[in-house]
Amino acid sequence: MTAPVLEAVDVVRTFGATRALDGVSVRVEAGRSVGVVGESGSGKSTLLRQLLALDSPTAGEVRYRGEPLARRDRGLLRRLRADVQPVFQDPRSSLDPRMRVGAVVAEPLRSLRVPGDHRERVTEVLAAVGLDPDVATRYPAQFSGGQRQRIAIARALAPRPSVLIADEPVSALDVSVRGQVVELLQRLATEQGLTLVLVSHDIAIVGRLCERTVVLHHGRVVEEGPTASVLADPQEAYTRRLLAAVPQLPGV
Amino acid sequence: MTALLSVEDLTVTTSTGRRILDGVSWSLDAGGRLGVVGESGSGKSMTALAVLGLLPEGMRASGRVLLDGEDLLTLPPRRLARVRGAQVAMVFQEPLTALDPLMPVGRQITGPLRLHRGLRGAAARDEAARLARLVHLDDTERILGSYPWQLSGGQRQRVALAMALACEPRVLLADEPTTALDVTVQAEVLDLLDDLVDRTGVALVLVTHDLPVVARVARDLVVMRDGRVVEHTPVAAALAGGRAAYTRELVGAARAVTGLPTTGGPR
Repeated sequence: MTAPVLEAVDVVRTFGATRALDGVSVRVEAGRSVGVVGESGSGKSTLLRQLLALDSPTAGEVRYRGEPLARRDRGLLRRLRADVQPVFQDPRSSLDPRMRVGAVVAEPLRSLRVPGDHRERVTEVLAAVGLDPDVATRYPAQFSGGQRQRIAIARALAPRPSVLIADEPVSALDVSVRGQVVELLQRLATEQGLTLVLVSHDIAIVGRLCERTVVLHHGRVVEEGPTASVLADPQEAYTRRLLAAVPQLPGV
Repeated sequence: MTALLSVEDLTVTTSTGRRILDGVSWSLDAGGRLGVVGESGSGKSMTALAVLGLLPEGMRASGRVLLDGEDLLTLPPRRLARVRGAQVAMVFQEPLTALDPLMPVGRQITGPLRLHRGLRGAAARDEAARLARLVHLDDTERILGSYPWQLSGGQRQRVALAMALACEPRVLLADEPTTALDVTVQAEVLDLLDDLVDRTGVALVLVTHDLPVVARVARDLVVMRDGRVVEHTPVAAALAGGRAAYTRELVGAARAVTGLPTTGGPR
């Protein structure tokens, strides 16, 4: 059996007296999709930073393709940086307003020193997210929220990662646009065989996108399993409370 | 029956002549529950600000905003200030912006009680405690003695609601009151809003981008887009398939995105 692409093993992260993560274990298998659901203070953002190797655990470890991430292992970290790409919540603040879209999308190619024709790759990934090649010459501010999120996804795809880690990728978007971005992520995951990790407070979005769901509460995994069974037959009181709280439109 | 609050042909223009709101009309009966929904840029928050006479510098409003037949748009600033808070109260998305960071919340609740209702000393403190219990701030003593930063987001929004209700207003205008809250806290605050409208008889205008939130609390619905009213209809009729194509589109998108899939998971 091959090792998971990413794996958190009994990860503890403390900030002073606060245990933001209190022994969290999560496996992310290649080509699958995992959603991490939690409210504020659940530790989901701390876990996200661990999986992106932007922070180190106080105890426990994070493994990338079976190898424990250690601060000193530059080679391993470099491979992870190219292979695991983040998509953040608000494309307004994650896209540099002074850079043209083409430069924004090519940025990971430059910083990771990816060989090959960057301009060609930019055109390719823009097409993959449904944008014309000529948007490359414009500035992020000239685009709507949904289009900016497409640009952010194109940038993440540029270095041909196998894993996308998305942090609330649609929470800042209007509802009519949200569905389109969810569909885009779904299509990209299927077509390109991407592994998807989605971190969100929104269990409905996780329900749409992810095969497995992990429910995080006060720094612990309270429930984990196939999304269908977590939604239909939640075992934990907290999961039931979370599901009951989601505002629903009555009737169908 | 005449409406308690009615907005008639409300148009808001920027200093450069651009129309932010274009002929907005709707009405709210006493004890009514109106949801105003729209996506970003639809003008829903601008409508709320115009009703309150709180438009940003340089913007001009025309049309009428009638509260009990009196046009708020033509009221002199000092009279309008007395209506605002006393008769039309408001709650915003982020209660931290409405609360004074340097003052215990108890004193912030007694402020309007002194100003608008002339309550002093023990009478004001007793009324503040009653309001705190009304919004289910249990552990009342401790909370009234706390500063805003010592409270959670949900507690802060309850304090903001207590302040808004302090003067027994006739209309409560709430602009995205639960958007910044966690989903379980949001559910509690929505239940509270629902309960407050029932118990105090205050008429509610709930401005939000979130249709399921409106469906949970409001009875009537105004759908806005690009500064205009697309449709004014009972919530139930909109959910059963609104007359306007845009309403149907919004309802469809909300069902697709915010609905919990019954089977769950893709592929």
